[in-house]
Amino acid sequence: MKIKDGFMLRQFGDDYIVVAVGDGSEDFNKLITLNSVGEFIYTQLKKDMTKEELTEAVIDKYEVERSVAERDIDVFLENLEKAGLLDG
Amino acid sequence: MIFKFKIADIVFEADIRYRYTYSIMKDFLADDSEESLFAFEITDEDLQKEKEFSPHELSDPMYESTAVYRKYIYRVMRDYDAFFFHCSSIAVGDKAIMFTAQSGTGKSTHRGLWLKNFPEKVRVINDDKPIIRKIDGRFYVYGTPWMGKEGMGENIRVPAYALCFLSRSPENYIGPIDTASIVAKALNQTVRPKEPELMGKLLDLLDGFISHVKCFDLRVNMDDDAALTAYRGILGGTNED
Repeated sequence: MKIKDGFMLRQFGDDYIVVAVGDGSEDFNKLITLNSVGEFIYTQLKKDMTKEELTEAVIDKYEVERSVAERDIDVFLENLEKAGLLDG
Repeated sequence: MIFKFKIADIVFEADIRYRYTYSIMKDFLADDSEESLFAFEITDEDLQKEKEFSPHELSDPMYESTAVYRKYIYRVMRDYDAFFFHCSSIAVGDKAIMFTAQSGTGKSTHRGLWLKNFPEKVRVINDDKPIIRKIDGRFYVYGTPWMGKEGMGENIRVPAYALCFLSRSPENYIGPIDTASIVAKALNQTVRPKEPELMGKLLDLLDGFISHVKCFDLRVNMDDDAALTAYRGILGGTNED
């Protein structure tokens, strides 16, 4: 899975926002805000990877329990999916 | 017919066909001696596009006037550090104060309370669609011909001072606002370009604008006290100074 093309990530202070650009922007006029963990996952998903690979990356970076990482990733991916940002 | 206009100190020529467009823009005609920086015409295709964008059924003359604004906005965003910001903006001396919110929240109503309570001090810059422009690192609020339902506004420029995110509340309150929600809310009050490069430019401008002005969370009812509370919170002291 990966983030679809046509989105732009920008940092504002401690926060990040994602907006649509290109042809997708006409259908997507929402805006997503991310914290730094969200930004890390989002950036990982700019390239195609499996959920397992993503989980490993998060555990590696944040040194959290696998169960915690998996739970948080599930919630985050569900939100990305709902927002229509995810491919595959 | 081709007319030369000046909005936000940017001179341009627009080829328009309806008297309505001319009539709302005539206070913004440029001097003949001023050099035009760019030119465009409004085509049938532009009118059709406005029709598709518009949530309400309007007439072709009205579509033409919004088409002029749209073409102007994209052009000035690209080349002149200017962007559209949906808000009611007033001037108190040389300080521009902006009230922004989703349509229907009561921006104009709140602006009306300022006019009523401080009639000597307050001027309306633009009640709906001002232009914000960055010049030499400072941000200015400019009046435009597109003034909202009550047609309130002037052809003036005032340094940007405060930006209030307005909501309705039984009790009047003014306080600081969280930065993350500011960018998100601000971006909802402007037109978003499709081109990534232009979107990047808009985000840079918005970021600069938001750091430049004082931002407030303003929750108000429709009593006079709403304007008094906001005035004290934004400009400080008593309102007798």
